[in-house]
Amino acid sequence: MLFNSLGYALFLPAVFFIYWFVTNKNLTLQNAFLLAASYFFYACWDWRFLFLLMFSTLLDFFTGIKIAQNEKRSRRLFWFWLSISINLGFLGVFKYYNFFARSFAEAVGHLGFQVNPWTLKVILPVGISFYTFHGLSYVIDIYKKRIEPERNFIDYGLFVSFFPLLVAGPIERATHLLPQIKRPRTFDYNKAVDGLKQILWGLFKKIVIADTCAAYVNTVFNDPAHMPGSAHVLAAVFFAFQIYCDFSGYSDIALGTARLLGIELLRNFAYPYFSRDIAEFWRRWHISLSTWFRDYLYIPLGGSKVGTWKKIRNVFIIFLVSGFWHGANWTFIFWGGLNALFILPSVIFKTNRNNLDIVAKGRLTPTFRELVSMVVTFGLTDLAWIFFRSNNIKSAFQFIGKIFSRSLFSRFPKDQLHMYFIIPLVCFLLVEWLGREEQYAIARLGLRWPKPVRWAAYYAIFFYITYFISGAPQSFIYFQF
Amino acid sequence: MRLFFKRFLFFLIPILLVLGVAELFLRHVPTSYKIKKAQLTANSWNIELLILGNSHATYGLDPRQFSLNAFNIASVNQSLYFDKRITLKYLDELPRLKYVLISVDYHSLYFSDEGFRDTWSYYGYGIDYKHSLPIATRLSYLYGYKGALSLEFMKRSFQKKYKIIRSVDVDFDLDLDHPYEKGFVGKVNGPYLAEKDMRDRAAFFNDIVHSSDERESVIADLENFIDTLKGRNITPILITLPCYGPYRAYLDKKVVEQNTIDIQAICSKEQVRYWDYFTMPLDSNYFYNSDHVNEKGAKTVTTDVNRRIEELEKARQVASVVRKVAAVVRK
Repeated sequence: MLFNSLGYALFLPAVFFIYWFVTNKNLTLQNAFLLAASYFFYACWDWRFLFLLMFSTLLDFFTGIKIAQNEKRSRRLFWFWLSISINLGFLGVFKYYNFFARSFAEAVGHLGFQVNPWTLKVILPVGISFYTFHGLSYVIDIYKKRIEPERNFIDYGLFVSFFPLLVAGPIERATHLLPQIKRPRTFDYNKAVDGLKQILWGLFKKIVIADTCAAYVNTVFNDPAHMPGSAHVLAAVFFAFQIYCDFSGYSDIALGTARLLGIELLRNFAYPYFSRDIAEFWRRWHISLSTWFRDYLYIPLGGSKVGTWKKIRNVFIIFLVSGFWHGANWTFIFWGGLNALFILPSVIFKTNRNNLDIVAKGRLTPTFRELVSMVVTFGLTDLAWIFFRSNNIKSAFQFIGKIFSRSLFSRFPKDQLHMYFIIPLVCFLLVEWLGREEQYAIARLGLRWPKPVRWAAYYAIFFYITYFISGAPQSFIYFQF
Repeated sequence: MRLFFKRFLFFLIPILLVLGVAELFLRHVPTSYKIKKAQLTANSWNIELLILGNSHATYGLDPRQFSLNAFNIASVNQSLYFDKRITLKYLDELPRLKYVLISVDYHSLYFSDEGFRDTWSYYGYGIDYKHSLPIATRLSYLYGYKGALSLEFMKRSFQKKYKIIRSVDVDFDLDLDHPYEKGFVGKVNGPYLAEKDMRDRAAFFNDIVHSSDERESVIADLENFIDTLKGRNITPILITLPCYGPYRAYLDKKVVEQNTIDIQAICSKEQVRYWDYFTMPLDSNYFYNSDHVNEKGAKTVTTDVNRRIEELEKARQVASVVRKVAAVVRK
């Protein structure tokens, strides 16, 4: 069930109604209902993988208790590694096995040996990277004695499987979400309205901007040989918009949905394209994953409190692992490596924390220097996105080569670009800029306007969503991770 | 909570009203599918020849040029799957039907669904492609047509842009104020024969053909259709319509050869005729674009097809007379 589908438009109100009107008197019942709804939500995609999700949940729930129960280090280590290895084992089998098998065959093939690797014909269970990371952080936190294990399976199951975050995050922490699950929740008018607004904005980003950009991007990436360099540039820029609006749109809908149910999820995006350097970009992009890697990989490796060479090593490790987390393809690893290269100077020269606040805070316009920094940062991230989007590294380099060819100055095909799209695209950029100090762009949009004008703005957003809804609802890019 | 619901409903009311009005409006939009269906059912008792197929037949066979009463029920991208089901749906209402021209073109044997046109066709003929349409699409035209197209329909209506038909995708270079005659409206502009367009178009069809795994099932379905028609004493004729010479060079030659083999195999198995106009020597004046003839081209092609139909008719009449004489002699 996709957030942008009719099914979800029926599912969410039904859940909302039962949650607040039927099960609201009893917290256990309310949580049990949410867990059942979450499992139903997941089963709508493929019910067979529901058992994998349940097994993974049971495993971490059980090992978490076992780790906490045992004082002996060896016993704690045993349960800890059992959980980690099974979790990563599932991820390895479903997500990475075929990649390793093929890469091995290719490598051996270069040495002159012919190997036909045995590959798995299984689809990747949606959300496996996300719920596995939920479980991993939970078990690591218990092992490190940062948290106590949860002893109520329903509450723990809900922490892992809460439907807004189940398939594409945000990657939650037990310290943040579990206390909210265990606390009685009361309906808050302002939160509910805020949630609806965030869902509306998320749908706008996904359906109007991301899906429309995708049509142009796919045209160029699928037939680069017949497209001029100018079309390549436009496709690269549009892909940057597509992936941002697709994923942050998803996150907005997830956060908005959770807020409707009285739960606050971790923020996942904070206007990353307004960043002035790559370090700032990574503090604003997919925040829940970046902080996960920071807390569970970068800091345990010594973080930035080590010598220069180790610092460089650590940076490369987390970016390469982050790239690999996205998918079993060398393009993602290259994308990670490229970002590591981009961020390295600021880590070495300790300028990576220069820009902590949002750009031009309290001002309407940025300074010239800020503007140039933003454009350069966007250019670098966009260059890396080309590798992320391409089917293989060779075609990514060919794509970049085409950009720097003479055809850069040719006219690009405008078939799929019409005014109906340009207007909302410009509006989107404007609204994002004006709302950059808020949790999401329209959080405070028009709060001082007369109600009819404000509502007219919401109607306009709704109108554009309706206008741009295409045949079948388009899946979210991050579902494949 | 009460305040939330009150305000939310208040916010929703205008949206629901607009959606409701739009839904009502869209249900009454005359599309090419609805008009063809209306014309077919209104004249069904009189139709002797039915033209089926995709856009090649839609624009390439002009029913006005036939000496028999003909009707063109072909539509853009209409697959053999839909050709069969539309015909079978109305077959009982066609008592005088003698011939069915089934257009089998470059990619006809390689696809059965019509993509988003499945929905449009469903609204026209009520035929659901393999029962795969979502319930919401079946219930709501607004959901089925989607926002952009719905708005386009409304815009045309307010602008009074088209009087006869607001069509769904055949409005390029068609006079939509000009009524469909026997299910046909010809292309009058063009030719659009730029090298790049021809190459892209051929690549598009090559992709369809190369990525398809439907060939065998489509052929089986077609053979079953032919059997059904023959069982009703109707003569099915397979036909391939002309494509512009330079365009043909971009098509996969192996597929063209395979098509010929497949069609000949069907003809031999089912004992039906095949009239191949694929390489008919027509210059650019007869084409709208690389694979569609214009109105002039349609007239030329149809005149020749009509000549062959007339020959068949004569033979049929002679056979009928011979049968009668034989019966008299036997008595």
